Order: sequence, then structure tokens, then C-alpha cells
Amino acid sequence: MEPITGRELVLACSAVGAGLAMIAGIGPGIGQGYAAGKGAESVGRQPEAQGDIVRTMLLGAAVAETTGIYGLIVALILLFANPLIRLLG
Amino acid sequence: METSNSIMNFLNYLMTFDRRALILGASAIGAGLAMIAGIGPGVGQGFAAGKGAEAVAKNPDNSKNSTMVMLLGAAVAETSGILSLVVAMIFLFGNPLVDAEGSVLVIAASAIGAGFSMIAGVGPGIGQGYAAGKGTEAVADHPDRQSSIIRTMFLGQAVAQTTGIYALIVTLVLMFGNPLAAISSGGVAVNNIAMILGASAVAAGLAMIAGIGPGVGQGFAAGKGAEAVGINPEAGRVSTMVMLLGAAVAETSGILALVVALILLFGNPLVDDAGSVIVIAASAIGAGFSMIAGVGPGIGQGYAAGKGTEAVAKHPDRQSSIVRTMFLGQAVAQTTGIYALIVSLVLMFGNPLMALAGGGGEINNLAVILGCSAIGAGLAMIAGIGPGVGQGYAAGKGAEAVGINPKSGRVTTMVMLLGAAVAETSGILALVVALILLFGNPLVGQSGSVVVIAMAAVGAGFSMIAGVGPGIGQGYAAGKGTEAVGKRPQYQSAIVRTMFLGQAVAQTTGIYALIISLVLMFANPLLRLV
Repeated sequence: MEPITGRELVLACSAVGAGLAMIAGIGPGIGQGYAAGKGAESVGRQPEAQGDIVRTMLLGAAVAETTGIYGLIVALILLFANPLIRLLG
Repeated sequence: METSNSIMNFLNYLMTFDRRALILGASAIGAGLAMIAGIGPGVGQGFAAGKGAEAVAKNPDNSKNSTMVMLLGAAVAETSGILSLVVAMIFLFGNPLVDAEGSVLVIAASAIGAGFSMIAGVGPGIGQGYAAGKGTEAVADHPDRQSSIIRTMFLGQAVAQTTGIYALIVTLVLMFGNPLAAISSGGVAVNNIAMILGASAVAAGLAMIAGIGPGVGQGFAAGKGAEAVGINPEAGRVSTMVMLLGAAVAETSGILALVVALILLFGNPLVDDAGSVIVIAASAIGAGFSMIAGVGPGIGQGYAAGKGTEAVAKHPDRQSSIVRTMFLGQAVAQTTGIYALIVSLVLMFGNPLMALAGGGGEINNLAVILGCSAIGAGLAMIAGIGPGVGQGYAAGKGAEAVGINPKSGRVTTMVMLLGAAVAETSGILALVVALILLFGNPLVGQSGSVVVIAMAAVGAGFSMIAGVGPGIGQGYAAGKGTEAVGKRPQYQSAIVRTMFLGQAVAQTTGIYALIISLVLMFANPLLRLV
């Protein structure tokens, strides 16, 4: 059995941190779902405006996606370009 | 420090403290955890206060009565906060554990488990507060029906308290009649049985947190019941019956959690297992985490019960088709809770990880990886909260739509099921990750740093919790789609198309989480950096 090095500790914590970062995805999921629901409701009310409704829904959903992407970026950095390791010296 | 021995070293380090100090320290944490339940009454009573202010503005002549109903309802919503306060005070001023017989590790862990369990009180607090608010509103709108409104409100609030009572029972068992401490041997030695029993005590507390769901959901149903009695007193009997039926279904997750906790406490199958102690103890914790998924079905089914109650009050002649749709939707909303139960039972009774680890008390690297995989599997299942809530929303909207427009009942029910099927995605993805960790664990064969591999399993589990979001959001979309089709069935295809498109967008963050989870399990880039 190998001893745990400081480097291993940082990497192990990075694995947990990458997982924790992804929990941010809860927000966009709820928000975009709300937009989808309102979109469906609106198309039912005014089917002739379907194109505009869907466009606005997607635009809003794209904005709602941002924090999920931030979480993904942090997870990917932790996994593939971990800057903490360089600080170990 | 060696990876696996570090766990034993830590536990042994704890044992160097005075026995009483260790138990008192854990009691302090337990008392603090129990007080988290105060979130519930705070939210619920705030809602009631808001509705009270609104009611007084709407009907100033009846402000005395509205205020009285608000205070009555809010007093009931205080229950969970007071129960938690009592538990904390017992810990602080009449601590029964400090002189308890048995392993110090088990007793200290029981104090923490007792604290976790009381967090369930968040649910009844929110739910009963919602009911208080809706009762207040109904009394302002229909002052002449005050007594029947209050009666229904109280009845529904009493039902919403049940999971809080279950949690209190588990807490009291852990504090005063602890069966785990009784079977552990005394003394300060960290032995295998003490580790398993201690983990089981914490896990029993974690499982009870599922009680948040039924508490919130049944409270919603209670509020809608009080409102329904106000709107249509002639249908009061039948709407109250639908409220109770729907709330009974919403109880399921709370009962399942209680069963798992009681198994861990009184019929613990892990104690006699000859497998690796680390894997067994971690499996108990994983089984506890997994049951937290029950929060979702509890909330969702309660929402469906409330909407079903409302629909029956408005259209009593369509009762049977409304209740049918409500039950159908509630059944769908239960699925992720069942997945979580299955993972929990597998971890307790048919644990495939045990076969992979060597037997006995020896802690080796493989056991650490497998133990962390068990915890990761349990964490992943928490994603089931999302589909449970979302599908329940769809079920409620389905019941409502069938009440408004029974002629399009078939097509609305179909849209409800289609939308709910999409909302299931995150629950299934989480189940797949859990099953990979349990039955096809890719981490076992990896070479490299043990601690990095083991923590990758935990990280993979945490990542999947993101699925809560898509589950709730897609369920909301399913509900709104169902509602829209119910109103204008002729535009069904355009509505469903928009719903699906929006749901697909809402899935993205769940997919990101799955990717990170799979990377951590199958192609962990961190291992190359060691």
C-alpha cells in the first residue's frame, strides 16, 4: 500500500469538487423547464405566434443555461487542466 | 499516511479522547442538525402570514377571523420546530447518551443520526404553513363556511405531520432505546461491529430526511382541501375524501424511508455479514443517502392530491375520471422513489461489492474504492427528487385538465404521460450510474492512486444530483403542456412539439453531469497527474 501524497490529496479533492460543481445544473434544469411549460401554454393560446414564442423561449433558455455551463467549465478545468497541481511547487 | 489505514487511524484518534467528551461532542452536532428543521415552520408560517395580510386587505370586515385562522394554522405549523427544539434541549440538558452502555463509536454516531432524522421536520413545517395560508384565504372569501374550512385544514395538517412523527420516533429510539448500542460491545476499541453499527445509526437518520417530501406535499393537499370546502361546501365530503386518498399515496416515500431506518436499527442485515467492514459500513451510508430521493415523490404526489381535490370540488360529477388521472400520475411520480429503494435494498441485502472485497476486518485499498463506490451510488440516486416533483406536477395538471374538459381526457392523459416519461430521464441516468458503480464497477480494475480512484466514485455520485433540476423542469413543462392541450386539443401537435423542444433544452445540464460522472468513472484524467 502506497502512502498518500499531497499531490494525491489535491487530485482526490478535485474529483469530489468536479462532482459538486455539477450540482449547479439543478438551476438551469428547473428554469428551462419552466420556460418550456410557459412556451407550450403560449403556443396553445396563440398557435399563430408559434415561431416567435419558440424563439423567445429558446433565447431565454440559453441565458438560463449559463450557470450550468460555468459549473461544467469548472469541472472540466479541475479534471483536464487542474491549476492547483501547479501551485504545489 | 496509508490510504486505508488513515480511516482506522482517524477513528482510533477519536478514541483517544475521553469517552464522555466524544459523546457530548457528537451530541452538540446532533442538537445543531436537529434545529435545521426550523426552516420548515419559517417558510410555511411566512406563507401563512402573507396570505393573512392579503386576506385582511381583501375582506377588512372579517379581519379578526382571518387573523385567528392564520394564527391557528401557523401554530400547527410550529410543531416540527418545537419537536426539534425539544430534541436539542434533551441533548443539551438531559443527555441520555452520555451514560449509555455500549460502544462509544456507536453512541456518538447515534447522536448524529438522531440529529439528521429531525431534518424531516422541514416538510411538515412548510406544508402545514401552506395549509394555514390557504385556510386563511378561504375564510376571508367565505366567512360563513369558516368552521368546515378550519376542520378540513386541521385534518390535512394532521396528515402532513405524520412523517415528522416518524422522524421523531427514530430519533427517540436512537437516544433512549438504542438497539445498536445494545448489541455493540462496550469500551473504546474501534472494532468492526462498532463501525458497521455506527454507520447504520447515521444512515437511519439520513433515510428519514425523505419525510420532507410527504410533509410538503400533504400540506399542499390540505391547503387545497380547505380552499375546496370554501368554494363548494356541497362537495365538501367528496373533496375531503380525495384529499385524504391523494395524501395517503404521498405518504409512500415516508413509509419506505421508515422501513429502511427500522431495518437498519432492528433487523440490521449488515451486522452478520462476513465481508469487508469498510464496504459494509459505507454501504449503510449509501443506503441512507439513496432514500433521500423520496423527497421528490412526496412533494409531487402531494401536489397531485391537491390539484385533484380542487378539480373534484369544481366538477364533482367528473370525480371518477379526475381521481383516475390523479392516481395514474402519482404512480408515475413514485418510480424514482422505487429506484432509490431498490438501490438501498441491494446495498443492504444483496451487495455485489461485498463479493469483490476480501472478507474480514482487514482494510485494504480495494475495500476503500468499493466503499466509496457504495456511497457514490447512494448519492447519485438523490437525483430522483427531480422526476418525483416534476411528474407530480404533471399529474396534478392532468387531473385538473380532465376536470375542465372531460371530452379531451384521453389526449390530455396521453400528453401527461409523454411529458412525464421525458421527465424520468434524469432518474434513469442516475440509476444507470448507480448500477455501474454496483455491478460493473470500472474503478476496481484501475491502477493508480487509491484515494483519487475512490474519490472519483464520490464525485461521480455528487455530479448526478444535478438531475434534480431537469426532472423538476421537464415535469413542469409536461404539466403546462397537458393543461394547454386540455384547453385547446386542436393544437395538440404544436403544443407537444414546443413542450418536447423545451424539455430537450432542460435536459442539457443533466447530460453535462452524466458526462462528468462517466469521465470520472471510466477515463479519469486526474490519475495521469499523480
